[in-house]
Amino acid sequence: MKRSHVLIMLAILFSASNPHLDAQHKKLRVVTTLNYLKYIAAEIGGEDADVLALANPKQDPHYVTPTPRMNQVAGSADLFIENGLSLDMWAKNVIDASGNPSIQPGSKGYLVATINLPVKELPTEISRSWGDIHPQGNPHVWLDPFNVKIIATNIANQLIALDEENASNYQKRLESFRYRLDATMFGEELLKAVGPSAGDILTRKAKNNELLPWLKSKKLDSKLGGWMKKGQDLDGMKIISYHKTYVYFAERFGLKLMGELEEKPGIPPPPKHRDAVIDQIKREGIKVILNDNFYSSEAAEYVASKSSAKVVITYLDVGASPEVDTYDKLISHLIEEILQASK
Amino acid sequence: MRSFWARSWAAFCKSVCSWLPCKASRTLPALPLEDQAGKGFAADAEEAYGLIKRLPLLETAPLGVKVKIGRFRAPIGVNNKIHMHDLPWSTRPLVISEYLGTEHGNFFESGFNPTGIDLDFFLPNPISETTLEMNADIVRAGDLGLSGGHAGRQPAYIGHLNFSKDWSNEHLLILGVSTYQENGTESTRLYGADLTYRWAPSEDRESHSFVAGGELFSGDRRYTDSLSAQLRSRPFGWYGYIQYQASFWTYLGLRYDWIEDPLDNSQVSRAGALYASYYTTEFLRFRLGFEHRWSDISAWNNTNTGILEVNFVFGSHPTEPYWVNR
Amino acid sequence: MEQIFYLPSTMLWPLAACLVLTGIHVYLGVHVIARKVIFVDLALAQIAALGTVSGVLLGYDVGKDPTAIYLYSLAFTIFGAFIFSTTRMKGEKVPHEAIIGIVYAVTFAATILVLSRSALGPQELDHIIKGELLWVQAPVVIKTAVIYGIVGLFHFIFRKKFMAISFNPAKAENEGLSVRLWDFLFYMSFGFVITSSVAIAGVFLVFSYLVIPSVGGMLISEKLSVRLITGWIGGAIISFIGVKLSWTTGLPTSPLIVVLFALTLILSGIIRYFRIAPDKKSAVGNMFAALAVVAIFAGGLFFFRKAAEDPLEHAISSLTSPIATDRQTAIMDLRAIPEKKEKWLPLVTGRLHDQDNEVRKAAIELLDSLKEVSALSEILKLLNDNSDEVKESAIKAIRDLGDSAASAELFKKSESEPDPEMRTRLLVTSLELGNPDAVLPLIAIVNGGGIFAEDAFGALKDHLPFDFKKEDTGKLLAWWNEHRTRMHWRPANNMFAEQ
Repeated sequence: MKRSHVLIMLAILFSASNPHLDAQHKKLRVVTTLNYLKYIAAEIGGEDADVLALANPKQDPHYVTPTPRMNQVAGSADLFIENGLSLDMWAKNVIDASGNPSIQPGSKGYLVATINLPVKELPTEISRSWGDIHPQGNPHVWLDPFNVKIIATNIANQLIALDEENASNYQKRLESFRYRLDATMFGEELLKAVGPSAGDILTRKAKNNELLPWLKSKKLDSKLGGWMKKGQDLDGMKIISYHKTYVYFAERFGLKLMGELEEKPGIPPPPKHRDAVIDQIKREGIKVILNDNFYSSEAAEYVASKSSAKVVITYLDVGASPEVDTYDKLISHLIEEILQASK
Repeated sequence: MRSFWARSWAAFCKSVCSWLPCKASRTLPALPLEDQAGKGFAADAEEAYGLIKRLPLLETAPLGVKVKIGRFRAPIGVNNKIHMHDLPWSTRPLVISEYLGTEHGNFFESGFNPTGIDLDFFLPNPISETTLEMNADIVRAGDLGLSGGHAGRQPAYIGHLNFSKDWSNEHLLILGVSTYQENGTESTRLYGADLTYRWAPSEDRESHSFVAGGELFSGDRRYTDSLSAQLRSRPFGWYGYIQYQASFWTYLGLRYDWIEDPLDNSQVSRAGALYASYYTTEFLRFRLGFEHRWSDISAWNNTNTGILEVNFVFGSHPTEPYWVNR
Repeated sequence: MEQIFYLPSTMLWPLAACLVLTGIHVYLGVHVIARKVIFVDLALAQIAALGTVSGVLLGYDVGKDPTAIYLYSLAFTIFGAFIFSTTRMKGEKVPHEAIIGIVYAVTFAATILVLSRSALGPQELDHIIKGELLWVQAPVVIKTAVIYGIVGLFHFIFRKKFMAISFNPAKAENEGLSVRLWDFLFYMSFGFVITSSVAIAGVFLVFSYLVIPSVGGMLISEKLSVRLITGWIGGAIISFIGVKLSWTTGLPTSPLIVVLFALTLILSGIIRYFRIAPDKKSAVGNMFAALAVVAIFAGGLFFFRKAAEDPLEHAISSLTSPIATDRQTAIMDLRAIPEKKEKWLPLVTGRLHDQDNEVRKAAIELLDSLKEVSALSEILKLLNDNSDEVKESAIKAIRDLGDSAASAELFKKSESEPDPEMRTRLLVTSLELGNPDAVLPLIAIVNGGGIFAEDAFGALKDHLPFDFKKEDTGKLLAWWNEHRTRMHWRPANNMFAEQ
């Protein structure tokens, strides 16, 4: 009885179809934690990869509850991509429960998308004030399109490492993705005017905060289009946000973050803090409060009702609402909503 | 003078030995343990097991199998696997504490916690968008409550099958069936079914949630009594609960237990309990509970229990099981 | 000798408060221990604290409305006293201690809950635990002394009855004494004392004053009068030492006195143990065994402590962390300790080959800022890096550290560089390091008329001793071809000059 039980168990295990045997002939199975990663991976992977996201885009990415479905999906994945920087810490539970050795940290099938990025709010001694919620720096990196270019490069490199046969496909799609993002960022006209490597050149200038002066000196400022042009209206605008989500977005488009409604991460603000924010809004003439869609807007609405500021419900992840089903729409929507509210 | 010191030294050694276990005690090998927060290892008073994530010799794990070797909470039903402090109540349901085990005492911590091997793997899902997960275990019997301590050292087999589906990570439904088989001069079998349902909205998720579920167990025990008569006991028991999160900090719940006594199946015990939990922060939780029992067993009949529980969490926030949003 | 007994005048009133407390508490403590309900005072003290805190929540200010707060606290304490006296069950079906324990826990929890709603939360909790011994002033002390005097008088007048019900309640009942009534009176007077004491000394010191001196007295003798006297004297001495130590070390007074009490108690326990032990040798043996255990425990704690990390050690170990941002932070931290450069320089130079772009960039910037010419050869290799930012930083670093050999590398790289801006920058930097080969390609860029023509033109104009206009590249070319062999780079002037 006993021996046959064991034999039956072993038989089940070894006769089960090995999902990785035919990886070379089939598409790569890519599983990501967040939906913006799924979008980018799908753009780069194209027909050579099947991409799935685990999280519901409407939900708070910090606190996703792993379900058996997620564990099983990760179990048959060839590549697992997480955002990292302590944002999606639940990913570790999924990776452990999946029983999939090829996606364990350290192997080729595991990627932290936010490597090679300039991370802000790194925990030096001075800035440990935010406690444990962002202990490796601010993780909401994807709201700066330049970071998305780097993430796309990271994903492409990982796909190439896993699937050398299709390396040229991935490379081509990466270049096309970067070009399209640059075009949306600066406008096609400007890219053409600058010439070869325009995207890279303009990105470098923008990162060094010398884009506009440089364009002026080259007499190209009239050709600027895209988000950078719209973002000129955002430059210098003071805003309050619920959570420290917009640091990268603010850096790219010149917004001034004057404070957060959340006093302690994850806990609704007490009345004293709300009142302090109301005072601040009145003093500094702040017009916009950004509230991520998955946080309760009660505090923000209250503050708005007692001051002249307007609440903007923002979407953080691609697909959180039908209006933001691509990355471009995510950023455009954010820019538009802020501009509208500030009028 | 010398003899004074010699005798004092002897007294010293004797008193030290009276405090420490000077005989070699049987301990389980301390195997690497999983830490909930992912930053190193945590020791757990109950469980000590090694989790093998990469099988040797095989490049990939068939069916995503994970192997646990050591001492762990057995996957019979849902409740038994979860640690006390992760549950929304301060006591185990009667059916768990009576049928599955009482090695830590009847009241607070109990359940079946054997030594053995556990294989955990996924089965291909027949229905799309659902997950089938299976556990197959061989463990050392002996501590199961239903066996009444009569099982001895023979192996027992456990099987558990989970069927689950979630809708956009807002609704989660898990159905499971379990079986426990232990054969020998005295045999014990246990069959169980469980259901868990959880709902939480996508927006403002931290402030609302709802969990409901229950388990039922049917036991079958054949044994000989002191007069060598062959007896058979087939007790049945179940429990059901709901928990509602009223606000960011507070949770309210109800539980109802119903069991037949393992020895005398005609004796039925029932318990109804109300619980309220309050989190001041994610590191400190207060819980108040009240339970009333009705029972055919006079010692348990019409007993009321009031419970106050305070939980401190040390370390950074770990990912919790389905129950709570913290 | 005067030094030992010296106390500044600001500490005199705190000391007086302690002595007043010692007086009444040691006496009441004797009763408390006789009744074997040690925790009732802790619970009552906590109830008094809850009363204070509730008063604060309901709007009263501790500083401005002391009477109102006192009355709230008193009301809660009397209510608590009432509960305790009515629940002292005959026959002890439920141990009274259980009820008192529950009340204590619930009250503490309630205090925290109440405080979480109040803006002053953490400070108030602190106050409750630590008391305000250090700041207590004459009016409070005198008022307290008067109240305690009255309570003490009350107890002195009715001492026989109080003794009876504490030490032998069954006998008292038999003799017709209404135990419940006198119990209530006892707890009520007790309540008055506790309320004032908690406000001054904090919950735990109040408890300690009640229990520890009389336990200490118990260890010395069974006679009541001896216990009272040793309690009073001991309490006074400890209070004095505690107040003085608190003043010199700056530690909070109440907790310090509590700990001193504990230490004294342990000491008297040891003395008593030795006195009554029949076999002195085994007593010594046990003593040493106990000391050994304590030493092992303390030693273990010390041994396993996390070493206070020297920032250098911490940064060096973070340089090998698997997390890229840790490595980056480590490099930034090392920037602040240039004096220990010999220790970390090779490690940072090693980070030039790190996997992560930002780490490489941080390493380049650090080496550049320190003008580390030794790292130049490694930095030159980074001209072929994948990342633009790293290349930019590398070019800048090479400009700062480089020499003519480096300029040749820059030139070589420029020949294969597709990005026009990068290429121009490489050539300009190469020129600025004195490489004459860069001139011709730069002239070609000016000729090309693209967006970088300006930059190339500017560079040529700045570093060549020839005045020309942008359109006159032909003239420049001719001039250069003629003078080229005679041109040498002058680093001091940052220009080429004729030899």
